Amino acid sequence: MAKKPSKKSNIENNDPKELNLVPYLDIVTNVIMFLLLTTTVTQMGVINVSAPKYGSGAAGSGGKQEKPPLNLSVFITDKGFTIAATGGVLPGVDSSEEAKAKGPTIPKVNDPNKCLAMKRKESAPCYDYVGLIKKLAEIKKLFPDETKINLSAEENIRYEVLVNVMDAARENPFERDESNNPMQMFYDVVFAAGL
Amino acid sequence: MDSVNEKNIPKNDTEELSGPPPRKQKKSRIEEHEYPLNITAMMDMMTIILVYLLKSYSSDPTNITPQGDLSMPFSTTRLKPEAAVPLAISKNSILVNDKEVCKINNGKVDPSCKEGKSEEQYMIQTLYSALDSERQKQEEIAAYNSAQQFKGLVLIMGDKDIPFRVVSEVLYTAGQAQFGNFKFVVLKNPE
Repeated sequence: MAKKPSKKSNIENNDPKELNLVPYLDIVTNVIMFLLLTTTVTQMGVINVSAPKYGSGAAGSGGKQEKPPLNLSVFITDKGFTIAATGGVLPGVDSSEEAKAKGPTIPKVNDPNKCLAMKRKESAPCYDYVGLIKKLAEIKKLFPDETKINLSAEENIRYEVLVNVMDAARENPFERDESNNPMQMFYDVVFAAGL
Repeated sequence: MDSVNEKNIPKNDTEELSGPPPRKQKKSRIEEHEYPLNITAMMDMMTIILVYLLKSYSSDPTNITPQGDLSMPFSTTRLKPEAAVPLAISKNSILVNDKEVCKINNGKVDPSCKEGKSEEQYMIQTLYSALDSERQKQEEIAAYNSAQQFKGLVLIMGDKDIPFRVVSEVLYTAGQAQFGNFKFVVLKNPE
């Protein structure tokens, strides 16, 4: 007959037991893996765009307007950018129909080196974003209070080109303001869909 | 188990000759030299990481699941996304709240989604109904919760290669459904 184990020795050997955390650790590791895989690492940003508003002009204001709105418009074609404005005479920018027929204000460039300098992966005849920034900076100097830009494009223009034009119109990386940020230009984008 | 007496070992050795099961003796020897890993510190670390990830996961308003046919363009913008109705325009479809509302074939919106099934139309009827129901939902919430007013805000996530025609059709339709403020979601330039 087997000897009955002594109670004393049992108590002596009975160390305070720790909670078994291993299964819990397994679960936590799995959840962390899942969250890391599903969370997007890329940083997102947004560009504010508003729809065109019709019939909300200054007609109801009654008073005298100091300055008519500039109504700066950039039209993107497959040949380049056409800049037009109705509220002011821009140097080197002719907004008449004849001028529009002649060709874009800032045509595409054919120099592959210039295309590479713009950090856009485009082949040789590429859009001259630097030229556009410089032209818009000139306009901004003449009309420092204007922030609105109307944007339109031909039907087949890629969305990426639109975003690049909005970037070019928003800030001028060649000039810095007091807090060393790129100079703000026309950040209030209105889409004129060419309807 | 850790407190096996050293005295027991020679005793066990003598017992081995007389026939106690050898397995038991071997086990006690191994256990004698076992030092269990203290995982409490690791557990603490893991819990902190888990809480951090869960918090950042829930606070991200643009919970965008990456798709193969949606590669967004890069931009220099510094504005951060805010919570709004997500509208994705991928190479093959238009999605509202991750639900497909219309197909895109060869860079053109499927005419069957449009009013009168005409290709020339700007109005995408299926997209309009999806946005309209979304607007009604938001207005119902706004009726009970004054902090969440309907602002007519849409987050537009467009593929970089979609033509302007598709973008303008989507914007026109969204405008008709009283969504007049658009935010184009882009990837921030890695600078």
